[in-house]
Amino acid sequence: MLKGTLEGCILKVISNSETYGYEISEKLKANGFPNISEGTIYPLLLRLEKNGSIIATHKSSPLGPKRKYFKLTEEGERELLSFWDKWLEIETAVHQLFDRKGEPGE
Amino acid sequence: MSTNKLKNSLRKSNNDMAKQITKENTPIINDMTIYLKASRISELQVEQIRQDLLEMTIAAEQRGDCLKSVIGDDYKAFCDEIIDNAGPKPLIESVKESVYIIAMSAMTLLIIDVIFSGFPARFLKEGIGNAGFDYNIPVTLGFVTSTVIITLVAWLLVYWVGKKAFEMSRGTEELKTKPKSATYPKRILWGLLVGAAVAAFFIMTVNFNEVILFSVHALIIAAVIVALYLATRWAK
Repeated sequence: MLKGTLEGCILKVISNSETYGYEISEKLKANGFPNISEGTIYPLLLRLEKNGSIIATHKSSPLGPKRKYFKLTEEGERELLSFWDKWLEIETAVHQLFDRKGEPGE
Repeated sequence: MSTNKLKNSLRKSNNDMAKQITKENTPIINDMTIYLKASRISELQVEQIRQDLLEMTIAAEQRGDCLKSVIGDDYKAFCDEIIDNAGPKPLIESVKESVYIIAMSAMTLLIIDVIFSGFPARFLKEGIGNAGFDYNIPVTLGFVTSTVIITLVAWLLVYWVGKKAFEMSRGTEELKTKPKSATYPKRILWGLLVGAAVAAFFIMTVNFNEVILFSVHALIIAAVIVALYLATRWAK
């Protein structure tokens, strides 16, 4: 579930603007995701690319080597909406479970 | 651009890019590449992933970050995660890889066998202008078994080296820290084992060379060599 959540959040970051691996990890870290590095998200980016949710383009960077920039496809946009709906469902369910104080196990 | 040309051009640019990374990171990227090559990922995708890893490494070096902070310190686990998330190689590529290894080994060993069978020397000595010359070349049990064994061993060796890339690098590093004398028993044992295996192989081949399975006309052998060569061209 955690992997799916991270994938959804990666899609959200990419949906905001075309971006590259390191920038995605920095944005996730800035939003409070702990211990996220470029290496953590790289396999997930590969999977999202394989599934057709994102497409990659190599572009020159002002410093250093070329960068692989990602942007969302139509499939990716659908995936993102579906993730958000599922997340709201889970969030409601988790809140419901934890907010029932004094009723353990319910 | 064909897949093959794309793969070769990417490999060339990756080799150039690999020269830019530090001495500390070079063996790590090399081990990861070898490990990925031995996996079920296609060769083109391995080069694409290698390109990503090299770009990631160069960018990290320019930021002053160490590679461990980018991909963690368990490189094998990182590669396994990549393999899980990348697509498997298409069936046709797996078939081509197998055809290439089998055809290349069979062709090389067949040429060596024909040379050592004494046929070329016999032909030069007696065959030119001789209508009654016997063009048949014997195919021995030794040739068949040695071809199968050499092909299998070469195949397994490449697969094993790929799968053990990280362990082997760690082992080499550990060896550097140990006194040489401490590693002698292990080295001697390995040497004896490999030596015994090679000796057994040669004894078996020499004995089996006495057993002629059938004889084939030299032109048929030449046609088989050409067919095997064409198969390697198709598969590469």
